[in-house]
Amino acid sequence: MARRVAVTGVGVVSALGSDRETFWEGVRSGRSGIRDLNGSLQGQFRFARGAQVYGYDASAHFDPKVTDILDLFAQYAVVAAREAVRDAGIAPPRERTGIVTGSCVGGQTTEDAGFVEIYVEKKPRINPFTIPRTMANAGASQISVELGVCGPVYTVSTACASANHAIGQAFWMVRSGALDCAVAGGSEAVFSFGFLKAWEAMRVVSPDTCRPFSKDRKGLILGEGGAMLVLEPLEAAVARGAHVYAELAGFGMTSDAHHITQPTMEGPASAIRLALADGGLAPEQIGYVNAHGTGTLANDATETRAIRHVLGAHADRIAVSSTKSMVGHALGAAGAIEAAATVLALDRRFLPPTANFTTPDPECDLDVLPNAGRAAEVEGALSNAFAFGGLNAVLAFRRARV
Amino acid sequence: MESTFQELNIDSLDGINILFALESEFNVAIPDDAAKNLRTIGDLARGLHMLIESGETGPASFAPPVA
Repeated sequence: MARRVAVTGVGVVSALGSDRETFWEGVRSGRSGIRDLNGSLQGQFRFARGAQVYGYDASAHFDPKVTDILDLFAQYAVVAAREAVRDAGIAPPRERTGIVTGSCVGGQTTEDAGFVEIYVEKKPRINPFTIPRTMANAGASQISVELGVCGPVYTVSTACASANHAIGQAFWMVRSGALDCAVAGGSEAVFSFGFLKAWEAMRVVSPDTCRPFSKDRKGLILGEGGAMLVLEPLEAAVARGAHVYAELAGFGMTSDAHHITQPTMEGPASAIRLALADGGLAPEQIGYVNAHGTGTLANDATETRAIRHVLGAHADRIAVSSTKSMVGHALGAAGAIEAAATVLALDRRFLPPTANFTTPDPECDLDVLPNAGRAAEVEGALSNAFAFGGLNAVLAFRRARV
Repeated sequence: MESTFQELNIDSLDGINILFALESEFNVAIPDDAAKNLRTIGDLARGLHMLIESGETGPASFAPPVA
């Protein structure tokens, strides 16, 4: 019989803070971590703001020998994993633990810097660690080294759904009995000149801020960071007296098979339906949805229709918010940061708001918790991730009943 | 000239590619807001003409920051 799976550890690095509690306090109070881009990035793009991890000091976390081989995105993964494992108070079993991380673009900050050196500065050689720094599994590998974990360790890259796919696969491995413990999440570092230029050319980045579900929304704001969850069988967690944030109950994934950037309603709706079915949850048991909510015209309207399509009349009785309004869109890390927000919302009995909201949009006619969160005890919650490429991954959580 | 992009089956990805080609060809910067309001080939031609006449050149002066 399939086991039930508990979330017993949470670690977060985000624009709202480099630890779980600072992040939660920010998300809870609707504080936006979106600010002017720093130093050399200012005045170079049609957008001026981002959700960068402010005040991050690598030397507070790593020996210089380690930072030499770890790009920022991998550092975020390791810092979040350390916090999650410490939080869970678990010694992950060597053979029976897996680590699955998500990343959209890996160490592109390192790659970008290397390209400037060879193409612009005409240097004859670049940093010899460019390859290990750039590989998308760098974070997962470093976590495995630190934890001494020898089970399945790998990285999933499905753009903005990467972390949800990673967490979902880890969840299924723990549930099936293939693993007794998993560290799963995602991380991303996006703030390099070349990558931001690429986003500028896509014309989906907001010139001011991220206003999900608001009629005057103008696009997404890029973010960075990382988040990790510790997953283990519920029975084992209870037996060892661990704090259970929530139960990870279901996972659903689908593909639109339609268009590389234009979302459909059907693909996301099917992923939501599958996540509910996988978790044995009825729509009426859901009280909160942490939306993909990028703040683009297309996503928010389509996501609203998808939620309504699956939840029916019950959609009018739930709260839906986008924490991207506060931590930006951290691409391959987004789903992990949002899963962290979702389990904390269940655990702390408080639903975080959608910040920067100004004007209701009839096309996004859900209770989006505009600018103020709400104390509420909900039984089930969903965390949505819908990626470029038409890939959809939805996680379903259930309040811990311990 | 008054054919809409929609009638011509030009989707959002084709759209940003066309804007990219025009920005490169004429060395102008087409703002996102203006781009969003373009519906027809005529809109695009008139907007482009105005940008070129105004003599405002685009991002040619942008260079990667040297870290």
